[in-house]
Amino acid sequence: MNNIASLTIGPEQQNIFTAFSGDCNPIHTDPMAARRTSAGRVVVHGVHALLRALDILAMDGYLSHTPAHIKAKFLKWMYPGDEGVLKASTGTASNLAIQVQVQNLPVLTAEIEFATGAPMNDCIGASSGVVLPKPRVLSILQMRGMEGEAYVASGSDAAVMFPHLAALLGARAVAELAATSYTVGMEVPGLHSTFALLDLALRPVSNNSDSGLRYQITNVDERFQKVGIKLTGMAIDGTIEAFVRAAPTVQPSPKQVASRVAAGEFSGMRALVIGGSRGLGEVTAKIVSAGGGEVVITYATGKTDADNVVCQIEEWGGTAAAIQYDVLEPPRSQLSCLPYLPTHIFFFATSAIFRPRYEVFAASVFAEFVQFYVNGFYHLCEAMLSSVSKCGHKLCVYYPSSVAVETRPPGMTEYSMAKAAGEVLCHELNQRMSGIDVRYSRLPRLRTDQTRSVLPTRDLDPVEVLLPLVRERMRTWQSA
Amino acid sequence: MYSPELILIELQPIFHDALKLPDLIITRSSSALNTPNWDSLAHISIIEMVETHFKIRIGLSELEDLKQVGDLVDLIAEKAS
Repeated sequence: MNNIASLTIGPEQQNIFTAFSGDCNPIHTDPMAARRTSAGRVVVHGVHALLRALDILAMDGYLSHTPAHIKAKFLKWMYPGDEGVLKASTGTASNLAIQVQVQNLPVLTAEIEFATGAPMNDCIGASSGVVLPKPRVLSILQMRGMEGEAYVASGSDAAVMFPHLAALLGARAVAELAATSYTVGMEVPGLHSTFALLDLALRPVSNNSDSGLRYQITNVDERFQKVGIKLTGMAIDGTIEAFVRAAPTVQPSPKQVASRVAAGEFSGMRALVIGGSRGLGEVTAKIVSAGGGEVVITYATGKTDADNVVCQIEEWGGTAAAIQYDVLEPPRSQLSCLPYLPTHIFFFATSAIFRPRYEVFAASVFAEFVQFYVNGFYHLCEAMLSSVSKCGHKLCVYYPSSVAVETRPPGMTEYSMAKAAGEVLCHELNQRMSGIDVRYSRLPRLRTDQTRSVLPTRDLDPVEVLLPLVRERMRTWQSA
Repeated sequence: MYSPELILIELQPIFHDALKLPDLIITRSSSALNTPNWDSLAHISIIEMVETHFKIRIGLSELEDLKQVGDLVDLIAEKAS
């Protein structure tokens, strides 16, 4: 494939497309909500990237004939600011294949078939349908047989957004293509959605046409949480496929955890849970609290999530507090507001773990993981030890390594290396620092926001995995 | 009736297509852990193409038990018989 142009969508362009298309799904607009998805942060509308690519191709003369059929697959997240590259095959009179790549990995692919004969009718078209103020929240069972009308922006707005493509296809066609994003992100699957594929024929539009864009769910595959949607509009006709994305992971409640913890078995423990606003840190905080221990959880950006965990624990009857703590920043000043000196530290700080990229090893990714899993961990232990040692008790620390150190899944080289380095550091801390006892273990993949997949998996019970670790740390502290 | 050996042969083009690796040779021990491009989307694509090609349906619990290609071969042999 040949490089055609760079393709970067910035935050401002993202906001404009959101307003134009009506697709204000929080994964595109709300950093805190996007943080709780597998994307980890706000992502570009896939259809926006596709339309931007097609507009560039139209402007540069690569769409020499009128497209009659577009089949596109959205393969990976694209983030605002990503430096994308638009590539295209050496086209023929009948078809063209394109890709948008980020760091040499395709994030979307498309195949375009061209029409023979007359060019598309240049229909502008008014907007149609009603914009939902927020996405529908639906179970996959509710989606069966669902049908309705999607909002379509006006052709005049589409012609402003994508002028070269609108000149070629007709503005209404461009507006309806954009409306596929609205259909998936706002109508169905709605809130928890991932656009996977579109397969659409483009047809001439009569200026007398006065119908909207109708959608109908044609099939639902509960195994993969995947839906097939038939679309019928003035200018487009075909199918789209989308996944029902997993909702933010809900960890066991304090009551559920307490049913498996002996009352008072962690009395005396004053735990500092780094990264306790969600995931494994959240579960550990609830375990400690269920056993009568006190717990302070930290968060870097997820204050709302952290406050929610504290609220759950306190409503149940436990003792908890939350402070902001960024492992990438110097620890001492951040820890000055701790309500007590901890007896135990559970270090669950993490960055985005899964980083698709082309190279076998990316030094920048490794450096980022080292900052979290090695430097951040060491500086925290060093800072806390200097305070705790004055009180004469031992600081018991748990460091979660990962089975990835042994299994080394594809695309996780840097993560595996950083965790392995963390393990070596744990050994060194035990050998060279007095007053600290660090234990690590290689945790299996447990259900968190980061590990959720479209594939069905048998999830391990996080309490079953973490409870013995907390107990072991308690025994070590008691015997010190 | 499909023998395991024949199934493995017939899986090759399916994996070539799903993983976009026309020269790939998969074996019974091939898995997502040791095969390039085999991510979750590719996995779904593989399963759907397998179901269409062999005219079978793989249930949710059966999907969860598939760890490597050999498991898939054995399952196909059982269902397609």
